[in-house]
Amino acid sequence: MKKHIDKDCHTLDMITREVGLLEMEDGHVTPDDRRWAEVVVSGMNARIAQHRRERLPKQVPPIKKLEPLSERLRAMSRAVLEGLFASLVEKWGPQAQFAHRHLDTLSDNDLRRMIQTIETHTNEG
Amino acid sequence: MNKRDAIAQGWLDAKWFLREYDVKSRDDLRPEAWAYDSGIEIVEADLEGASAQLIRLADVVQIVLPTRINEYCARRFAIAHELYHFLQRHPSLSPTMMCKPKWLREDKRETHVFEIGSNAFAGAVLLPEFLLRQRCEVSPVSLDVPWQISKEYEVSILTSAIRFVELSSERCAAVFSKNGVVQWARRSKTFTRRIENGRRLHRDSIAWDFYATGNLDEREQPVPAGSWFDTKATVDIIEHSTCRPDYGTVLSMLWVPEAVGAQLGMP
Repeated sequence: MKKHIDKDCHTLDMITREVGLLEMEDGHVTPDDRRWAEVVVSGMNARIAQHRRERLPKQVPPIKKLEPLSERLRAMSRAVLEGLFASLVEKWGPQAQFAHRHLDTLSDNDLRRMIQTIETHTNEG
Repeated sequence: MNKRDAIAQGWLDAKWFLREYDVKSRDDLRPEAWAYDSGIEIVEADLEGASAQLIRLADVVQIVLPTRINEYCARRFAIAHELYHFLQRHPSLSPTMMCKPKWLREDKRETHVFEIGSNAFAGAVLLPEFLLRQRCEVSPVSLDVPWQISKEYEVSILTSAIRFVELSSERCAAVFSKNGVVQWARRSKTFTRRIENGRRLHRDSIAWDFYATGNLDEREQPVPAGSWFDTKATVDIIEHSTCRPDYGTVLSMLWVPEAVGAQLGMP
């Protein structure tokens, strides 16, 4: 099945390339061409959107509760936590993104939670 | 980008997003499934200092919802809000800023604007204009339609009231107060008088009764226009308020009928 799709894609690539070359030699675009292209694009976009909607799962996985905080992190003071958090964020650089809705004050446990999440994925990476 | 631009961008992005998922009816509004489709895992934890959190570490993305917030409406909104931060790749606060308490953190204008944009996106994506515009074109205005929308679309009454005034062409405003003080006000395009944040409720308003007596008459009633904004005109507008005694808050929907609009500078 995959081979069949690969072959089809290859054929489409060849045709597209040849048409492209032809257009470069005689690239005259009529208003009719433009209208046709707009209809094709909007039709394709509609089909893609429909497909995107249909492939959404009927049921999403239930919301999982995160594991309890480790004893190691629980034993850390605020100052140590802040230092560790800053070093982990630096390590991830622009690959890390954080956002908080209605951010008031991150509690010590909030910091521990973020660190635990980052460390889990740092170790996995 | 200023506040107005952020809201406009959030609305526009919501429109495109709904189109990308071929949303046609209420049943297609599925923030959890959209997050899942974007590769985001939704988890729950004892988050204390925020009402939701987004964490992205390369391809690993989590939306963390606090255990204490278990109202489904609030969770739907939070998911849509964080999803927008993710889709737009909004920059994060620095670790130092994140760790500071709010009162010490000078909220950077830029960050604040991202929050405003995310709220605008969440409201517009959960309450699409093309499904609701017609329903918001009603007169007289009260909280009845926002209540219906809130139930039908599973959003809070605050979200539906804000969206209502955004979509209505009537002169109306949704005002949220806590402990007798205005926290925020959202106005329709035609409600041109400002209601300042931090303004103390006037004793002639219905909302004031809740803070004075603990009771609130939750029916729409005429009140002097001057009880809500500065005016010399001695005319009445309509107030419809509802309260949450557990939070000590009141939401008021104000409506300026056409007959008095001109006298209040809202022709």
